[in-house]
Amino acid sequence: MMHTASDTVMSDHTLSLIELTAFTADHCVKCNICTSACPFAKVTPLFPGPKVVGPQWQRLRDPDAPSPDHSLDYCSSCGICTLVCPHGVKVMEINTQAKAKLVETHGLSLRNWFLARNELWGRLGTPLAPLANFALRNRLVRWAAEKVIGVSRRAPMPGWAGYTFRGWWQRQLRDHPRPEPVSDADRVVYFHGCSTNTYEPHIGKLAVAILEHIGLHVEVPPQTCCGLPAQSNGDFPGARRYAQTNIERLADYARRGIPIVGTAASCMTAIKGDYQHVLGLDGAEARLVAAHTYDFMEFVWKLHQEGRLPTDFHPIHQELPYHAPCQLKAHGFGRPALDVLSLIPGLKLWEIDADCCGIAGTYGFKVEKREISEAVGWPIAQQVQEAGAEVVVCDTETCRWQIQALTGGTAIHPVVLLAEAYGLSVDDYRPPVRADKRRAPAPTGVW
Amino acid sequence: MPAAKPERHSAASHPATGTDIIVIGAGLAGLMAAVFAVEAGARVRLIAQGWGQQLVTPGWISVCDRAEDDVIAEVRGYAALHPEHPYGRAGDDAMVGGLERFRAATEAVGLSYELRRKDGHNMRLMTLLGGIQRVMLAPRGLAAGDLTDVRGPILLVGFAGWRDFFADLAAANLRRQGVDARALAIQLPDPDRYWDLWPGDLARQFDSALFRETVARQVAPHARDVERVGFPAVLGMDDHPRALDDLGGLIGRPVFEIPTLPESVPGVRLSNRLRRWLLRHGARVQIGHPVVRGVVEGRRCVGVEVQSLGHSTLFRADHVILATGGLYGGGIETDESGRVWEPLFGLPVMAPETESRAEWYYDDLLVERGHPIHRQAGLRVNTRLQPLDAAGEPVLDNVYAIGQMLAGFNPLTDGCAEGIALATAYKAVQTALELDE
Ligand SMILES: Cc1cc2nc3c(=O)[nH]c(=O)nc-3n(C[C@H](O)[C@H](O)[C@H](O)COP(=O)(O)OP(=O)(O)OC[C@H]3O[C@@H](n4cnc5c(N)ncnc54)[C@H](O)[C@@H]3O)c2cc1C
Ligand code: SF4
Ligand code: SF4
Ligand code: SF4
Repeated sequence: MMHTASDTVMSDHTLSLIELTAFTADHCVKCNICTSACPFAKVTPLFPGPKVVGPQWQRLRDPDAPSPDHSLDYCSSCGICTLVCPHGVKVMEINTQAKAKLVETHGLSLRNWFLARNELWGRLGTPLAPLANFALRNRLVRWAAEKVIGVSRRAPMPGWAGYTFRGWWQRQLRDHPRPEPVSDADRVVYFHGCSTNTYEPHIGKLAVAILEHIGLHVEVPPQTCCGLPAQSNGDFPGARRYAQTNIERLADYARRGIPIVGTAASCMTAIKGDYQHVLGLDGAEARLVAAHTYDFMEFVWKLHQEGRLPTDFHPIHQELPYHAPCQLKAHGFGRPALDVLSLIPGLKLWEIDADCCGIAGTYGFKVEKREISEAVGWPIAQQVQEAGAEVVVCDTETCRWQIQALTGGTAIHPVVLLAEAYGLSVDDYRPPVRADKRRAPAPTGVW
Repeated sequence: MPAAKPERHSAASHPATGTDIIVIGAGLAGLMAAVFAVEAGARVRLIAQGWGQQLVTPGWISVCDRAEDDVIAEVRGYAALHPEHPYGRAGDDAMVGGLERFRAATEAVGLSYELRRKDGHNMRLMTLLGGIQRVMLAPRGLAAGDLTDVRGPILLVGFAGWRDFFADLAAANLRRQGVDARALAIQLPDPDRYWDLWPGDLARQFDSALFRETVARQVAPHARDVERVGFPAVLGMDDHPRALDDLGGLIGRPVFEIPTLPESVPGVRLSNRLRRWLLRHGARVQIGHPVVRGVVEGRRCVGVEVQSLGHSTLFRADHVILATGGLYGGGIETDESGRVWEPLFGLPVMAPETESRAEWYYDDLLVERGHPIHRQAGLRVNTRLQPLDAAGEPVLDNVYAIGQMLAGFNPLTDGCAEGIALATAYKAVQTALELDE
């Protein structure tokens, strides 16, 4: 007797995605594969690990009763458990929902509220950048912040650029108006996220330069924080407000088939996945926006596969380690940064063997968790040091800050290398890795 | 290992081929197919929804557990008589080549897998409950427990209060089988510090020299008149080889490991080290999102689609190795109506000729010959490991099925699942890269 897939009957379900999450616990066979992979349970006895707090304790969680456990707080929501589970149990998602329940019951601490509002601090700090940066670098201030609100003094803190990416872009458009493209097929939306807007505008500037070099018309519509910091601190109502705003502002572009592209891989995870799977916003608009949203390197690799990417690269003679953030692994699109950068002559990248750098969004900023966070990230520092590398490539900002703190070196976004190979630069940023511009770039057949 | 040593597989002899290979599945078969393909110079992408069974199985390599004499010779004889069996399909060279390359690859990442028996027979290794299992190849720690040549008494060490291993129960069972075994329960330092102790938690403790000393101090006085000392397989995670040697030195007797309940630390060691090796050698390792379909043009698979966030992602390849684990890995699906199907390519699946699902099983759960569904559900392939249609013709030119995806054996009861994983992983890479032509 032979059967083929055409016989397959797809079963219909009537539960929403978010309701289904809890039921994936029933697929757990207790194999402990997730436990063996959880980067956090490995380094602290305070956390019993994904199998226990996820599918196992899910059996004890009554929707109408308060959450029965607190060790859950040590789960970072890095999502490695969900990735390694061979049976489709949404362990991280179960944990994140249960954490929200804890917050609902006990309220959000001042510190976690503070960390959940990255977007607000980014905006408030910008006009006061010199003062704010001084405060961040001041030991006394950091000590006080640790004692009073519980933000670790060892946690890596970004500095305010003193201007915003959005402000710069508006000046650009005023001074050098771009012609309207003939069709929507040549348009792309850039999602910068909070961090690029206020701390690292050079990443946004390089990203836009690359997109324009490719020949696309860039638009930067109004947008707000992706909501991930609020979500991972269990503040779901706050996260949903952010998410809803973004969905409303991006939906029209998605409807027109215009890709929405972002350089912060973790923000893109939120828009593509968490809005539906964690926050439960799975309406038609949210799904449409998700379907048209791309991580920057994912988008560039897609263009290459479609034969639309110019490859007029100057060589970069370097061998560099690359860290794939846990949030990037959650996309399931492989390692597009490695694929794209391997097109640059002379450049050789290797992937560090590490599941997570340990910062996990805002986790590693918390004083009681800083040590755990550093232990989780230690394998990265070890491998980078063994290789004698000074520059690490990585797609998300908090990871880069953490890696810099752990290694004492520099961590750059892949766009830095891509822009450098294209010979593109911005005025206030000098990349730590330089292309060999003596030779003319290889001619490109496209665009 | 017998003399017949295939020559065409050394990594050095193959420069980069520029061939793209996608391996679907991160069990032993998929993991090793990826390693063999990288060694042969291919560009490799390993894609899997989660890790495979090596993280829950004992960690040894069953080639043919029921063999009474020279294992390889017995498999050769069996394969010659049963060309439909996966060993028959893969061929002698692949069986021997797979084992040899596996040993070389694991040695290269600092784990040695030992044959131990000079006569090519199976070893006799103990299980967690004190059963005795025959296996051909095992990680050094497990192999050191071979009971074939045991001369003096052995000491089994457990941890007081640890619910996953009871040394006295295991020792009693061994004694019933004629092995002079004793038991000792020692105190773990600081047991209340932990929520729970999974095998991996203990293994990481054993990475610490200080921890090993506290253990050895308790064991040594009881080990003076025994030949060897057995522990659950938790003797070190990242630093395992040193932990094993060091502990043996401190106790003054050879130590060996006994497989535990999941997670299987020997399996974690293997997977972790091979993953790092793959990454360093330029392979992509993408664990977490399922392949949802193979993209086929004519008789070729041009790539696979992965269900990623927001939209699916297409990964292109010249060859695809299907190592999705059969019934228990998700590579073959069934439903309550008794349908059996392969979900990615819709490949024709062999299934029991029964009226209803009830006949897939016998009444006795632990029946020795195994249940019909376990023996019969799988893909029929040719000697190139290409899945076949009802007429016996390959369905696709560049897709190869390996490991538990194959019909013709029962991975649960036959005692050859790992041997078949290695042989077919090796064969698929040889075929894809035309190294065997
Ligand atoms: C690995 C493992 C090994 C074990 N070994 C043993 C053993 O050797 N001996 C032994 O005695 N016990 C053992 N146990 C324990 C034993 O399995 C459990 O105690 C027993 O299954 C509990 O039965 P139950 O019906 O109360 O709950 P469960 O079997 O957990 O069933 C709970 C059911 O409720 C459903 N449910 C939960 N929330 C909702 C909701 N909101 N709405 C609708 N449905 C919901 C779940 O989906 C599930 O179907 C083991 C457990 C595990 C995990
Ligand atoms: S959640 Fe998945 S990986 Fe973890 S124990 Fe359950 S089945 Fe295994
Ligand atoms: S989300 Fe990360 S920290 Fe939390 S249980 Fe899973 S693997 Fe562990
Ligand atoms: S910042 Fe590190 S924690 Fe975030 S995505 Fe990074 S790997 Fe995970």
